[in-house]
Amino acid sequence: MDIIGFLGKGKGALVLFGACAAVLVVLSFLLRSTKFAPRRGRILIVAALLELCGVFFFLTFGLEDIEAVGSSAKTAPRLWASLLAFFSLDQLRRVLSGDAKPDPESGDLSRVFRAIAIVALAIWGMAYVGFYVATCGMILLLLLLLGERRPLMLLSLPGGWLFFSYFVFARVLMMGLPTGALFG
Amino acid sequence: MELFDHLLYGLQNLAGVTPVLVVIAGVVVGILGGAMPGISPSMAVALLLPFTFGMSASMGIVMLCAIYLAANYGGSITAVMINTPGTPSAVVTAFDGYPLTRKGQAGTGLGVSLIASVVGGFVGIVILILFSGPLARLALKFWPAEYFALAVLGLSTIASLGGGRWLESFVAVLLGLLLNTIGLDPLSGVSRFTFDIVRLYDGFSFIPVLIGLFALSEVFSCIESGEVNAPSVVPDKDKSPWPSVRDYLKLKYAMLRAGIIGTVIGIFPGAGGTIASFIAYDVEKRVSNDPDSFGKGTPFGVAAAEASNSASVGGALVPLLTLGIPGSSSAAVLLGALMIHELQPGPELFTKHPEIVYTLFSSLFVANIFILILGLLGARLWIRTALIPKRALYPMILAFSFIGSFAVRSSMFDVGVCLAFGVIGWILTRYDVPVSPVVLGMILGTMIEQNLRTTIMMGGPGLFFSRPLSLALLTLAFASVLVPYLRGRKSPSSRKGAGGAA
Repeated sequence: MDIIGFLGKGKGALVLFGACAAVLVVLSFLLRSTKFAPRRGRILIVAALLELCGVFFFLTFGLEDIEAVGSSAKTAPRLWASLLAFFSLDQLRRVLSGDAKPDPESGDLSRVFRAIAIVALAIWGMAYVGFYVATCGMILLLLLLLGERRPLMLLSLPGGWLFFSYFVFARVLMMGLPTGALFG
Repeated sequence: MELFDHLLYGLQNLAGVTPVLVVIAGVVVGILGGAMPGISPSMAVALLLPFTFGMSASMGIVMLCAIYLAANYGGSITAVMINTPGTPSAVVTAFDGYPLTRKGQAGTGLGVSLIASVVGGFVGIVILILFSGPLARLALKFWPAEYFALAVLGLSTIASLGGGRWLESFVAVLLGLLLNTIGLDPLSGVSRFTFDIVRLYDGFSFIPVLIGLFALSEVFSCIESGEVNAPSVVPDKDKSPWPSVRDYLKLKYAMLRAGIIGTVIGIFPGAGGTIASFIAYDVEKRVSNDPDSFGKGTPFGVAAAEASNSASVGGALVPLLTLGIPGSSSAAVLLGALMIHELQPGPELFTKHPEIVYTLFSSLFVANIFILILGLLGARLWIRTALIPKRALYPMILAFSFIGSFAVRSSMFDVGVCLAFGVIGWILTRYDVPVSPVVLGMILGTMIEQNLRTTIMMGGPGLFFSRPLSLALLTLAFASVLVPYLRGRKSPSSRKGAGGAA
């Protein structure tokens, strides 16, 4: 019970999800030179779903038990996790038997990861520089990443967004957007 | 005859500059609010509620109802143009609306969504006026067993939503249902899978998930495929960008069917326009001669989705006005508005304040006409979105996604959730797992769990099969899943197909 309590919160949750991620990384590495390599992505997705089912099912044992005539807070998660595991295993069977399509051709993945990193950076940066600066910076970086080089566009789009978002969201809709530690 | 006299009296109350301006203001605010991801119809109605304090009761309610009606249409604009449903009920509109835009037929998507909204709105209002009494009584016969069965029927639409990918659809819907269990248990209040994160006590907020799965995943997919540098889709100059009257007439039965489905489902508290649009879309796909075209940009899909979600407004007003039970979150805000203006919804409202009820009914007709006029004017502006170069459009979509996600609960955590679901949606789409069933699972999860457990507590699982209406709905749901499954088993090639809505 204690181990479930530990894994269900704080550092324990990090350990749990870290372990799940590590399993996926190892699995990905192991599959690289096998006959399943062309369907590695699909196998990893199924593996991730099975891990999710396992984690949810496991954590239900730590849930408080307020039983009410045959049903409790555990009923639905266990039901959905079991069904998801069942269908995921069927999916895995199809992938392993070669019934599923091979993984799609990869496009410019590094550009996607850079875009995700820019968005994540903007979200993280909002706590420090506020919504307006963070989103303007994000727009500028994304424009550069997507190949925009015209100075007018690089200036007008973030600038236009700054004025538009401030006027519409802050002044008209009175939305309290984060100002950040720097300006707050 | 008496009914028409009352309606005429209601229309007379709207004759004048002030009432017309009130309706127009409501429609404009509703369209803009609906089009803005993060501002739901209920939020738009709530935002404008304080402005009605200085108005007469009838004008205040008229304005709020106009907002409610128009917001349902507004949600379709961004769904069609940038694959970002402005409201949850516009999710289904994006299935075919956005593919139409990608094909250079944004005008068709916008035109059909506008006309279908107006037709659906009219169907809902007519049914509201003529059959509000009997429909309200029908809604009262629904026990948790029937609500559970109705939600299961909604879930059964995944069998056709995923096209030939029935297994992936099941996996996706179960993922949505499982993720929906995060947060406080709806019946006992037990904290589940929250990992001590306070923001997770309410579970995932729906709008950030929606924006992430649809808008962000689409942006990431386009960046990966290099489509971001492709020229914008310019509408064919030789062809009118707008559908002709003949095109609309081809959709008349689809709109009527969806309008009736939307109204009927709208009257059940908790069901609402989102379930209505999924079911109407599913029905339309099943009756279509060309079901494979759904999810690839067919006007029939857009018409079914939009007509049903607009008609659900009329449906939601049935229990609100006749019984005082709100059928949706927007109707709940309207209930508050009625009470603030010292009006008690229920049978007495019709006898004590007929002038307000019939002014409201008439105003819904008038609001629908203004949605048509303003929608036509605005559509010429919206269609230009398709001409914006993608490398300029995508950063703006991401910035709007931030606002939309933040606005719901003023939470940066939700912005992070939006990004996380954007990445999840991108990965799932990449490997042919449709994301719409995930959304459906998350929408229906609470309704299913709550009613499943309440029914078990009330009389055990046997109650699902001993109540005729529940049994009928469950049988229908079972058949809806079984038929495409058996068809899929017969033709293994279709299982590998990529058809169906994303």
